[in-house]
Amino acid sequence: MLDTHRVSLTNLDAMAAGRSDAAVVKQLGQADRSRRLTLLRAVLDAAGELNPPMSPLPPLDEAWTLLIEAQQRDPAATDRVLAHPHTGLWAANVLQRLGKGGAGDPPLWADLGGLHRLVTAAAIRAGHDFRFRVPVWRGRLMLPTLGLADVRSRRDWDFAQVHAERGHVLVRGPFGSVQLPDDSSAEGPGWLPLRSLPFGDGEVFLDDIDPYREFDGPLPPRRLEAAEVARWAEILNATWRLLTEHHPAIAAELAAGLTTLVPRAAVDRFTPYSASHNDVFGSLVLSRPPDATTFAATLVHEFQHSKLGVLLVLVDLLDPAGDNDSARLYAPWRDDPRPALGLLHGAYSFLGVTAFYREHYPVAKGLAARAAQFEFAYRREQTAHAVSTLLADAVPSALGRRFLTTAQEKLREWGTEPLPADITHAAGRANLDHRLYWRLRHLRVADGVVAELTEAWLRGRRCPLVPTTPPSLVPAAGPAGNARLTLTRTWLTDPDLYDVYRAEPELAMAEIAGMSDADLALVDGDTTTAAERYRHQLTTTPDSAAAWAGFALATRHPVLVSRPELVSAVHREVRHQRGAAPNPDRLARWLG
Amino acid sequence: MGQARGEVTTRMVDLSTVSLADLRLSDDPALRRSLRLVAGRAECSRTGVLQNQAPDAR
Repeated sequence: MLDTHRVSLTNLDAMAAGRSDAAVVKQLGQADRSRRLTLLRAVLDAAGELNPPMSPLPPLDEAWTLLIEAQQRDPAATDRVLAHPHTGLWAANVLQRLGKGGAGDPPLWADLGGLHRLVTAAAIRAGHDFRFRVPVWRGRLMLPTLGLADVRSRRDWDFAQVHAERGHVLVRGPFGSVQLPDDSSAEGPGWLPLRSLPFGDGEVFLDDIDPYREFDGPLPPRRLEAAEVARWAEILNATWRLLTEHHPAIAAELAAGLTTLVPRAAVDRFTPYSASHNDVFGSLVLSRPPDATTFAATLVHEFQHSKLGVLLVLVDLLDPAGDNDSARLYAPWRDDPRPALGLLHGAYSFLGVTAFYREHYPVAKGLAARAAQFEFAYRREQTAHAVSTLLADAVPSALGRRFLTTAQEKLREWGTEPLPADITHAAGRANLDHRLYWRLRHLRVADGVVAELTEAWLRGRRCPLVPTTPPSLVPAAGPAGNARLTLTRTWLTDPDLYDVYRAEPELAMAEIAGMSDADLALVDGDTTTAAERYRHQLTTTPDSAAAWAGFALATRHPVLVSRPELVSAVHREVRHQRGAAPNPDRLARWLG
Repeated sequence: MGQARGEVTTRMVDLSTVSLADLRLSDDPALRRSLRLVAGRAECSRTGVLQNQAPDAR
């Protein structure tokens, strides 16, 4: 009988404490390889039961036979293709489709033909001689780990014939043929190779062509200009140097597991885009980060997702019988309520990011050191909050409780480490701001409670005892604003620009979406002026969550800080009944 | 999932020594359990793309 993968408690505790370890990553990579192979076998079994027509492609068993031949000829080359991150995602998606009877888009033969593309790439890499049909999307054939052949077609889904003989590969499509260059990493007519960039002693793919590179798909290629590729290479090199000099364990871990970077556009100058997928180990989608430190933090963040994704295949950290699926929990980095699994993933990612900045701020200089101190303070508080939420409000398994408790103890230890007072104050304010905003947007006080309080206020009575019943969750759509966080980061990282903003608030308001002069006063530490300006905002936009959160931050009325949604709801109902807004300070004091 | 000698044993079969030819035909019980595991996960797969902000903030 075959053995199963094992996870040592020592390694599990190290992961929970935010430590990086290349040996652990190699073990997770091995487990992920087993998962991918199991998925491939499951696809073959499920397709065998459904027996869908594969025409115009050869049957799946022929594809598997070609893969066996490739492995027999060159096991390492075949493994390289099998280890390609998207192999597992394709197999998981197609298995899900087969489980539902196979209906949907694209045509099932084309979807299952992902295996044909995979085995063709493996056979080419192994130097095998063969002829094989593969699916093409909009006339393009993506050969995983190799590149994209443009053989043109008038149909969305079509097929091409790949003919490999003595190292020469010809792809013959419906309306054109492409001869792969002898060195398939070079460009040729109709051929875009999958680019790679140096990363330590190895390399990573810079994937701008695979139709499934952003996990969903298919997408057309978005080929980067040579100058942009050079910029990626330069910043990746700088990031590697930073990691090896100051964070050798992280560098070793990434070298052991990171395989693919997928470039895409940023959200804004303070929010580099990044994403990963729980079925894809070692690949991440990201915008080009502005500097090596941000790049390193992004790699850490997304690679933590990769590690946890594999770990969660191996063990249950959340109780499968508990309510861990409904989107009901507060995540300090997200504007929307999250399920326990999403919160666990985020907490584990930011645990790694916190560990990174904790190591980084002592070696950074000047403004960069202050920025790193802020990120450490900001993320340690967020992560500690999320871990506490998971322990209190989610349903962890026994192993998950051990994992979370270990993380909690480490975060508690890190939470006592001293930082400059203005940094911890700014981080605490940013986190409180997000929490207030989230409560104002998503929590609804019971109508009966609001009615009773409103009546008492309007009749000039003392505030009745406010029930402790928690408000209900009514998720609001759309993203919240983050103008004050953007302004805080400007204050930290670009004091010259911040001085310009102070002198010309109109310029700041034009550049930072949703920012107000009250926000500028608040970040500047002038809470009296900020409160006055938010008070004014509440007279003109009394339902603005941003204004209520800002007002709470400026005044620190206890009830506004603990239950802002209650003050806002009573304020709204009094306005509704009396036709005039109550004074928010008086109302907050009355309620508190 | 069991626990022994400071290790957690998992339900994922170790295929590091199994050839693709053997994988196709194997009826090993550990592989069978893993096949059920991945099929079950695929059936109720929920998380998908992980990003640090809600999708509509992209």
